[in-house]
Amino acid sequence: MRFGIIAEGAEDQAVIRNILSAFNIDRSEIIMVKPRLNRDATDENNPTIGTFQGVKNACEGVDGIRPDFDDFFFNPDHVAMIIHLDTAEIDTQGFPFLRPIKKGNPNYCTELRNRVIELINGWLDNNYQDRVIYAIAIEEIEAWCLTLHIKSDTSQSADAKSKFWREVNKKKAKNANNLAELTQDFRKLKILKTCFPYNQSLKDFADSVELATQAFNS
Amino acid sequence: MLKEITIKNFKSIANDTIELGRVNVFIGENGCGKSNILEAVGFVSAGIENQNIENELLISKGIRVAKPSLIISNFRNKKPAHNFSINLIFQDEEDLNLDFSIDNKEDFYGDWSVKRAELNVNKSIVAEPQANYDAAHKSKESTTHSLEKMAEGLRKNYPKWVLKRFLIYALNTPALRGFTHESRKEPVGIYGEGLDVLLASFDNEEIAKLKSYGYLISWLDDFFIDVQDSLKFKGYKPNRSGSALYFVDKHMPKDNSVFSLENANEGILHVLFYLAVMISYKTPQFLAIDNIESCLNPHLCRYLMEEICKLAKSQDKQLLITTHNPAILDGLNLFDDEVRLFEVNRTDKGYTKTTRIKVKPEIQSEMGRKYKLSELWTRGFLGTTPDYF
Repeated sequence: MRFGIIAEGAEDQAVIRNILSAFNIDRSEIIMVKPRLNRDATDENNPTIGTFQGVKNACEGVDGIRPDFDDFFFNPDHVAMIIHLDTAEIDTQGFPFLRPIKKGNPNYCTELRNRVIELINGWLDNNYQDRVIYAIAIEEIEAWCLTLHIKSDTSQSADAKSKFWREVNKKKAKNANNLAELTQDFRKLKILKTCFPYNQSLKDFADSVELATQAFNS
Repeated sequence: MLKEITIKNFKSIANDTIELGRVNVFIGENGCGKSNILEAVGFVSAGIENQNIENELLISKGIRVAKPSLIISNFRNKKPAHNFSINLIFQDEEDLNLDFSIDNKEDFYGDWSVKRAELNVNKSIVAEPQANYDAAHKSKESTTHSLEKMAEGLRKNYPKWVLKRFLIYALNTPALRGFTHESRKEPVGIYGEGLDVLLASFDNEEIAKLKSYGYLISWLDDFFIDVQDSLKFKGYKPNRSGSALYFVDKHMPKDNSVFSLENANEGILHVLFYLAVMISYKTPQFLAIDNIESCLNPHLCRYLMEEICKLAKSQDKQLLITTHNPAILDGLNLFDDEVRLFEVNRTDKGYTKTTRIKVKPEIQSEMGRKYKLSELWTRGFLGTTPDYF
């Protein structure tokens, strides 16, 4: 059983991999789909690689052909693709209308997540829906990481990324520039679960991974 | 033919089982443990050859010798093992278990011993040469006797027994060119030594077969062995190669188209070596090739691999091959169960894990265009790209 990950960047993939580890999904069972590998150094200047737009392009494909998905599923052991997006990007990427009213809305995270999932499904022309796990970070994946450090709703944080790095620097952590190392604690299910109350989108993602592993194992 | 191998506590392999075909290609990032798989088989071969295994024997088979404490698996957060074991299952369901041990893991001059060798045929043990390792040191005679008993059992039960002759070939150009002679293995050395002598031993049929692959090298008109080594005295080997292999270039004037292997490109030497080893019945029937792609153009890799797969069947050989070149994969037909591709990974704990790469049957018609294995690999779908690339 193998899972693919399409993410905005390598660091995002690394965080997701740590979360998957909590559900006993080993490194050797994960394929990091890297749109960058579709290109060579000659056209490496393409600005969309490793970004929100890069994930969008991978999902949309060209003329109905989505090589990153079609080719990933060439192997019967490859069961699901995880798609990551940070919602912080939607405003600048032309999708500000997706954002629900935030103030006083207790379902803000769930609503936003569902809308982004709909957006992704649209890009995919509703293909692969039973094979996709959505890793929608509200508002960015550092908000997930921040739950390891502070115990309040990190999706409400104005700038979770800066806040996360401030926390890391404060603690003078080892490997302080490496999200993969800094989120090693996500690999322990017990610790991961303690983070759920502080970021609904993290919990939603983890829940969907758990459900998927149960389904694929049965 | 070997059907399955289980390796425990050997180098980076904590516990891994591989179901083998006839041609087995292993891919994976550097340091994932591909060569360790070949070396585990090499250890079995050495253990069958001699119960007390000296480093020299291991080196002669192409095994990278290391300090014993590094040969037995050595992982953080895992209790260190005291020996390693290898279990082989053959096509006819016989199985052979070998445990390897060394007196002192820190003694890098010590010899490895086969602590336990158990051969099961039809579920009954026919030879157990040495149940107790210590007893071997007390009585040389009984050890020899039991080893002979095992060998007899093997010969009797495996007419095609080939493990003892198993070698890991890892070619290098100076050896192929006849400049170095590090390996004395017969008929050809593991680095490529002695190719000319092997070719000189070929009968007409073998030579004709070998020459039928001339199409792989576009400039090649012919090759021959200067049995008297007389051309050496006419200035054809200024670099003093010990080889008497010569080539004829089809684009050069007939009176000046011959040159020795000193001046030939590396590619033809590698190709000729592999084909000769595959065609010859004097070379091991079960063999490994480490980094088969070395010095070869990608297109040549593909066609050579296709030919090697065909030859493996016609010559009844079994191969373990490692490669880092995606083009090699395009020469593999994964719908043929005898041809298998494996990706080798390290798990989160660092254990080597081998997974057979399967292809959905329903995409067979689309293989040519959409699912070229080389592209799937370079694009990362075979799961063997380093994480942070």
